[in-house]
Amino acid sequence: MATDTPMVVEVDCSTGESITRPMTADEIAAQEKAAADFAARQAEEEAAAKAKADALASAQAKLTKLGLTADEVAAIL
Amino acid sequence: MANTLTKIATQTANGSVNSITFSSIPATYTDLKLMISARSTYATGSVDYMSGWFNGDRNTLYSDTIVTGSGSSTSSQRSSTTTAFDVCSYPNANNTSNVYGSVEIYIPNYAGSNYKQGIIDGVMENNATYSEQRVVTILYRSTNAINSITIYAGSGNYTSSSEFTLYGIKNA
Repeated sequence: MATDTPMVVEVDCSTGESITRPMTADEIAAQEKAAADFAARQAEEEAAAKAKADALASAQAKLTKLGLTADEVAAIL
Repeated sequence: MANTLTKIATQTANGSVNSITFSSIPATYTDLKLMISARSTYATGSVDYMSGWFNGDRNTLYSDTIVTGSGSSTSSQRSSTTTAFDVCSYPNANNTSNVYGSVEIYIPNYAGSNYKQGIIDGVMENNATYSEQRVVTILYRSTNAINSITIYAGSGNYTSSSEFTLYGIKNA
């Protein structure tokens, strides 16, 4: 989070006028929750990508041990 | 009748706000399109992200499905009954200078009485070695017309020159 109170710009589409105001406590709480949700989602994505990469590396190693060349392994995977 | 694309409003950030709201959106169009070019002041890690609300509604009425591709990996996730919809990752202060993320949010039938859907297409890149595309489908389970849209930065502020432009589309 930003260190100061987060600020909002509101553009009134009916008038074209805009105001800048501090976020309300409710808005800040909702934003913090969304930030936590996003961080959790990012961690899930990174963990899933790592698991997939690890499985690929493991499969490549096992196929190589069976005697396949690097080109043959690449053709399969 | 020819389709029309009309600019409703535009807002350029000044570096000290982390949320942009378009309010009192007229219900006279068929669809809405919000174009975003943004960069974050956040200086931790490599990205910041944007999320959003409709009508200031922070109840658990949103769902989204996200597909992300970076060239070396892909992923897909779904979240339901969330209090906001996910928009996109975008460059922060640790990325190449003056590189902005680009996002389009398209909301068909925003003034109708059915639940609202949206399509988001966003690109995050550092103009060097990394780029990522994110496609998001969103559902807002409300029968109310959408009359305001808020897009907020996750951790920092929007840098000056970050720009948000809302268009209305008639006869889509």
